[in-house]
Amino acid sequence: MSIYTDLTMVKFYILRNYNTSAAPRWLKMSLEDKSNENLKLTEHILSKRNDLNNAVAGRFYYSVFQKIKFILLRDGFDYSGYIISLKKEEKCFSHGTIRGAVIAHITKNKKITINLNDLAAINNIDFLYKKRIAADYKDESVSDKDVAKCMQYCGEIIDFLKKI
Amino acid sequence: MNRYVNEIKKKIQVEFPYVNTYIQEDDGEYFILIDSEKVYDSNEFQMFILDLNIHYILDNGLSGIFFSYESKTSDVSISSFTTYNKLYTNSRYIIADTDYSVKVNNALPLKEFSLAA
Repeated sequence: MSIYTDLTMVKFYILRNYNTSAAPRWLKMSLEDKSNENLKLTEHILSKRNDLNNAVAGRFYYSVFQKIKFILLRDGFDYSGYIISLKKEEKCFSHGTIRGAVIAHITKNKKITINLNDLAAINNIDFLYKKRIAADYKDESVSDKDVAKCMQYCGEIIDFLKKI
Repeated sequence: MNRYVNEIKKKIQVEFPYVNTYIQEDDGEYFILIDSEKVYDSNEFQMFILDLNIHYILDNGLSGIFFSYESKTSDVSISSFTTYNKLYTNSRYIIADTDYSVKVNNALPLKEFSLAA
């Protein structure tokens, strides 16, 4: 079988599966499930290793990020309208806007009643983001202590988000 | 953007004069940092940030402004944190009464650390 034939078959397989409602499970996964997967990964790593702080810090952040994005999409939040209200160009669901978006969604959506003390938990996504930047882009390592803080803040944010 | 960031910094300095506040700019994003983890975790500071976010940052259409702290002890070897659990007595995610240096083997059993639904 030629390479061309191989590629054609791969293309056919992908197209067939994308165009059918019975696509394989690996093609479909909600952001909520991905959020949970990241949490499970941090749980798994921390139960076995203590030398993967940077990997863990990133997963904590993305677990929260994906959960928020899931909620905003689920609730039909007008992210484009929110972006227009900003005074600089941003992409929808950017890291710089996600915290403001979820706060705007909760505080301006009359259907959601939430305690402001609980809402304050969402502040700490900034801490998670900062550690994720350090973990992924900086010439520095996230400390054990910071991993524990990430775990604490992540748990508090996820608990809060379950109330929305 | 700098004007807004400096205004926020001044607001923090007025409300929390006993902490040092400084700004880190990183690729167009601004991190407003204080040097006290304890103050950062306090209800007063968290509500202050929330109020800033709701009534100042959102109202002014700002983005890319983050709040955090830079703990002076964050890079200290964890083995020295024998009283580590004191920081997290209110958190069900951290196991108390243990030295954090042994967290991997003893202090984070899965049944206690269960964030996922």
